[in-house]
Amino acid sequence: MAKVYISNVGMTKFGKRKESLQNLMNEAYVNSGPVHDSEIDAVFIGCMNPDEFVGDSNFATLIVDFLGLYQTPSVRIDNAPASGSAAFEQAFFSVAANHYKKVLVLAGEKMSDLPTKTTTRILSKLIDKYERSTGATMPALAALVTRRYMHEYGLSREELALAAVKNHYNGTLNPYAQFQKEIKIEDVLESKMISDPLRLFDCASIADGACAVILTSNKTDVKVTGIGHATDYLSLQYRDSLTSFNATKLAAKRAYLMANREPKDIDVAEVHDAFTILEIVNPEDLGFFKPGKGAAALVDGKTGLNGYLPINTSGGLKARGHPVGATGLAQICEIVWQLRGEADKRQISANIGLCHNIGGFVNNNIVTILEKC
Amino acid sequence: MQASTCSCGKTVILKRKLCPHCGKLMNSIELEDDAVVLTYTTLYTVPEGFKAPIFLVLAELKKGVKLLCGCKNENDLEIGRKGKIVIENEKYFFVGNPK
Repeated sequence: MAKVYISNVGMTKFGKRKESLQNLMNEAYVNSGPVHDSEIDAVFIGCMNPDEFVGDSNFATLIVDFLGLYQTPSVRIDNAPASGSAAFEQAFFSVAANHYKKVLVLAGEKMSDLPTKTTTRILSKLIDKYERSTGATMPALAALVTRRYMHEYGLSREELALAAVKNHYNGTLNPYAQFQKEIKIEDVLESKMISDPLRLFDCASIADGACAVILTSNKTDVKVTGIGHATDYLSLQYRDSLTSFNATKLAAKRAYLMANREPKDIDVAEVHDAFTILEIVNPEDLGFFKPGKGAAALVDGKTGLNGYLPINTSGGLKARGHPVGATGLAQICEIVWQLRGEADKRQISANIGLCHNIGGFVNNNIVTILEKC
Repeated sequence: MQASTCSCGKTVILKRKLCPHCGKLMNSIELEDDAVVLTYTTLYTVPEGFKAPIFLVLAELKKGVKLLCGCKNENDLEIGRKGKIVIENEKYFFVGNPK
């Protein structure tokens, strides 16, 4: 298997954008730095639902045509909100297999063109058909998990709000973040109730944006050392636990095994905080903290920028933004910047970083480990 | 309550052909309607086609089976609350036992 390195990363500012999805992907590609188009062997595109969000299908061809990558092999990968990391994973395999030498990964989504109710309905299709027939939405499932976690571990509403407060602070230091404004615990507690006990500021919001990453078999300063992928039952009602997610645990185990690393080796992590409860549960499932201890780690500042394991230095899904298909690749961009010392005001000291991207309601998860070399 | 069970030990609510755990053929069984609330939420931002608010309960039945269903009475929203699952217009609802 060939060793796989990252040469270029780039992204657009996330948020409500007036440009088309293909223009956002082009912007991310240009922002990834000097690229020589003729050397790109293939393009892997992570995008969850261009058919419904922007009205285009055959999106892989549309993009290579738009970017002028005439005749370059291209494929679009939909893996729910883990489309970005799934495209990265497939691109990685193609280089690791020595089939391609240099590939471009693009990921993006444009969600803000539609009314919120329509976007909510589209996102609800990620849920099992029976479960969504009850009216359940993604925030509703997260709320069910939150309440059970509060019951089992005594998590308080204020502690939960701290996840959003921390990530909004990190977002103020990230020029690409959707929200670059600090918030207080009271702002979270006074925001609109979405699905009790989760409020508006507990949920990542609707956003547009795109990212670009170039993978190569030529040695660079950042190597991809581990990728783990696992699924769980589609239905929440089939799961063994309501306070821990097997798809994260297994994906992490596989990534650690491949990289020959342990949770204690990780210096920085981007985790999928689509809801505040996930900022607490994910680090537990990734092996950073024991079950029930994720909130204490947050409260004690262990996962803050000055902590021993900074989490979501980018601002996470909550503040950097969550254009669903783009998120997994945005996590990769952030970790590469941290490893290269290019994270500006949010820079921390790191040699090994981890990305954790969730598809569906925590049932198609990908964990990626990147190392400075 | 219609459920499906597999020789591997997995039992899930509703009729299902293949076991989601091991892929073997499942057998239909009838579950008692006794249930206890594991967790719940009141949903205010609802998808198109639904009226807010929606009371949702994730209940546990016999054999460790869980069911996501509606709930008509806000007073039944309490972790550990015991009750029964009723079916109305092909939809499942949790109804608490008299206190």
